[in-house]
Amino acid sequence: MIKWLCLFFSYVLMVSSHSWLGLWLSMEMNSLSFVPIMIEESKESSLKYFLIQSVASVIFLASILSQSFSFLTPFALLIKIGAAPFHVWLISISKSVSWKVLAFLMTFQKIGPLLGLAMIQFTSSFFILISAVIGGLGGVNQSNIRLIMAFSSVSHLSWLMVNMTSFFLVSAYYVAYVVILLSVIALLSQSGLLSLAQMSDGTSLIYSASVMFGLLSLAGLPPFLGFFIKWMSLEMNLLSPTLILTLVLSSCLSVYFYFKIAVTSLLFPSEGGAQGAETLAILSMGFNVLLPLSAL
Amino acid sequence: MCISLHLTVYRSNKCLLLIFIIPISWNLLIKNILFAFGLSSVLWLAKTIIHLLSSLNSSQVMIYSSYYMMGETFVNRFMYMMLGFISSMVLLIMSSDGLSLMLGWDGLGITSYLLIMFYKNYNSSSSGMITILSNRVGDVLILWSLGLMFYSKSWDYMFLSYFSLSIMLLFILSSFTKSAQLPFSAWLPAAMAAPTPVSSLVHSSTLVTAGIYLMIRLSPSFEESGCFLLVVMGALTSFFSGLAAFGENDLKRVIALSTLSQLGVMMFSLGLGLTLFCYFHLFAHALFKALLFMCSGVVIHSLGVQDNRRMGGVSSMLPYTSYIILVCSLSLMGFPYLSGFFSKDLIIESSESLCMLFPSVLMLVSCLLTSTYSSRIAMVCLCSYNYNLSCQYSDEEGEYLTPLFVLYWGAVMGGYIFLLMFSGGDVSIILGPLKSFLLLSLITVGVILPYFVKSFSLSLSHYVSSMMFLPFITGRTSFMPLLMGELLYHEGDCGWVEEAGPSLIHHNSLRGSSLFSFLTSSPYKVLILSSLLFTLFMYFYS
Repeated sequence: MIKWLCLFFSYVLMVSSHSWLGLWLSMEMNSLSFVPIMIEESKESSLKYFLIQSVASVIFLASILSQSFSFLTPFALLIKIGAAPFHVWLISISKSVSWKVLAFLMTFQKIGPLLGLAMIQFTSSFFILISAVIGGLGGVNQSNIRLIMAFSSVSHLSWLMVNMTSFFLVSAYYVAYVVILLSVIALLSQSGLLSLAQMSDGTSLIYSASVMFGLLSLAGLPPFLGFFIKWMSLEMNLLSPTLILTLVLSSCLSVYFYFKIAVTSLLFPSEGGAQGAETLAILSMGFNVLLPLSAL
Repeated sequence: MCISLHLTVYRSNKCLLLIFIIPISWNLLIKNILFAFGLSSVLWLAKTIIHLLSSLNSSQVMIYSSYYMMGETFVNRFMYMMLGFISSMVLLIMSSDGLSLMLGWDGLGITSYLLIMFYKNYNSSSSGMITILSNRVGDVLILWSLGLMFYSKSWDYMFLSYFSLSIMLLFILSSFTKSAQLPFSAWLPAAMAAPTPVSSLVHSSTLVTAGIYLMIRLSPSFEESGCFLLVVMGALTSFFSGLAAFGENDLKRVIALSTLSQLGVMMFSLGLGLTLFCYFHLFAHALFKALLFMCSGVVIHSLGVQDNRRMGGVSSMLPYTSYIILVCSLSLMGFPYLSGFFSKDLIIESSESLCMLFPSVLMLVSCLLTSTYSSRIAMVCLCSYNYNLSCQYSDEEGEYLTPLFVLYWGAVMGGYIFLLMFSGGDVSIILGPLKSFLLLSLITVGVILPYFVKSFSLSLSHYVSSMMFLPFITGRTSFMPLLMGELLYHEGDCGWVEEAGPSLIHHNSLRGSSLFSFLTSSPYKVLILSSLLFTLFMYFYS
């Protein structure tokens, strides 16, 4: 109980900090209180997580305190967030934790570093390009659904980094991304499926349909919510053609692995399956489909 | 004027249809709502009336098909395909520019192909293939014209500027394919392999009138001057299909060819610049032709045969249906004051003054032939005794009675109502003393003619019923292109194009992805290697 309290307190501290030191303090508290949550699932992953996050915190502290190391701030924050080329820990952790922890890891643990990156307005096209490429290509050959979601988080990070110049855009993209991702993960964790081969064992039609809607929303297909945030990122920022091309092509590649999940679950529906997921399914569909349509 | 919205509630073999008619005051509201979705309200009245007509026909055919398709395993599939067809037609009617027209056009082609192929035999399959290929030619022509319209900076019909002549020609040719005018009319008789509800909806009032509708939408560009191509093709189609129906024995084929004949009349009137008369004929024809097909479906179901020579004595078995067949045939012939009379008479009488002798003579002969084969159907079905001892017998009950009743009133009153709406009841055309009785005299001669021409010699009937050997010609000329097409597909699309495009991208992305997975995998030296690579890459990049 206390660990959850500490965790949520760290989020509160993050968003209300006025200085770099406050941000560092809250990020430390965040990672330290997340470790006990992870340690129930897998000791090795929690150790990896702790080590990576503390190294990143050290680099971050050094960069904010000294002037000669201040160029290291974005790198430290990128290590914390799991962007390429520092994504390796995220991939290896995702293999062995549960969906709940993964949900937290991919959504709320990113608040602190994203705040820091938004403060310094970090848009380096190198990191955007390489996150897009790795996130897109990495998920193609996977069969573990959690690994697919981890690679998807890497590729979405590239889209997030695109609109770091404006705080409003970052927060809009982030909020929408959190909503979509939580709805998808809530559905995927209901059925307890681990790998792609298991998706065809028979799930109810409404479950498969809402999983598909959520995944296609993540992929950025109109008319779902995910399309509108990606469109916003492309329109509201001045981007070079190579950047636009790479982002869109990586989106196309990610469509491939989202479709793999969605289609295998749709081609073998059954009447049974997760019954309790009915309301959840409808709720998630509401977010992904109806929310953007209401804006029209 | 009102819009009719209809809801089709489909429950387990029964197709209930509710027609809600929204009053006049809501017309503007719906216009504005649709405008927000990008559907413009140009020519709203014309669109609404055709929409009303096709909604009426579709709704009645859906009820009828619950009777006709009873007992089929795949009724669900049929119903959904019909709904797809109806929605494509509505899209086509409501479209104001070439792009949504393309969507509706293609939707019509695909859904009609699927509906024709409903019964699973080679006959249906080959008929469907003829249909889709003919329609495909029209699709390609419309795509071509869309490409040309690109230079007018708008796909709306109103803005045709530089390439207008070629665009119009392409649209005319594509409507020829859709409405089965002469070079492309091989598919309509063959499409009778479809179930009868499909014939009555698709091949009588909606699909084949899509081409005519397109021409009506584009008619301002040739209204003043007339279009000789349309006149000649319409007249020829009308004549040859009438001749073919004269020698045809299959009941549904005769009705299909009569549809083709009336389509020829519509094209003919468009070519003369009589747009309103063509619209009128479209309206009236759709009303009674669907009804005629439905009645023929009832006759076929109750007798079990489709051939004229095995039918007879239907009037004692199905009095209601045979009465409606009689009324529809009379309307088709142009019997005075029924639905078909007004439009047909107007067109024929106007054509006396407006065009050269040959097309109008062809039109008159086709009217004669219309009355001939219509009375032949009526006579053969209704009057004579049935010498076929092994036929079935059925009473007149079923859900088809409602649609027959509803459309019957349309067939009787529809023409007059249309006339009232558009011209206040008096349209006067001045002709000489002999010519004003032209249509009536043709009908009379046509009705009497079958008594004298009861049997054909075999060779004559072969020539007459094969429509100047048109299917033979189109079949043979398309052999070499199809062979080349197969070669192109096998070597190209399945061969090196596949290897250079999709397959290549797939394999390379899998290889790249496995490379990245390898670089993020657990062994320590791999991690060191990948971090080294990344630092080098970063150093050289920035």
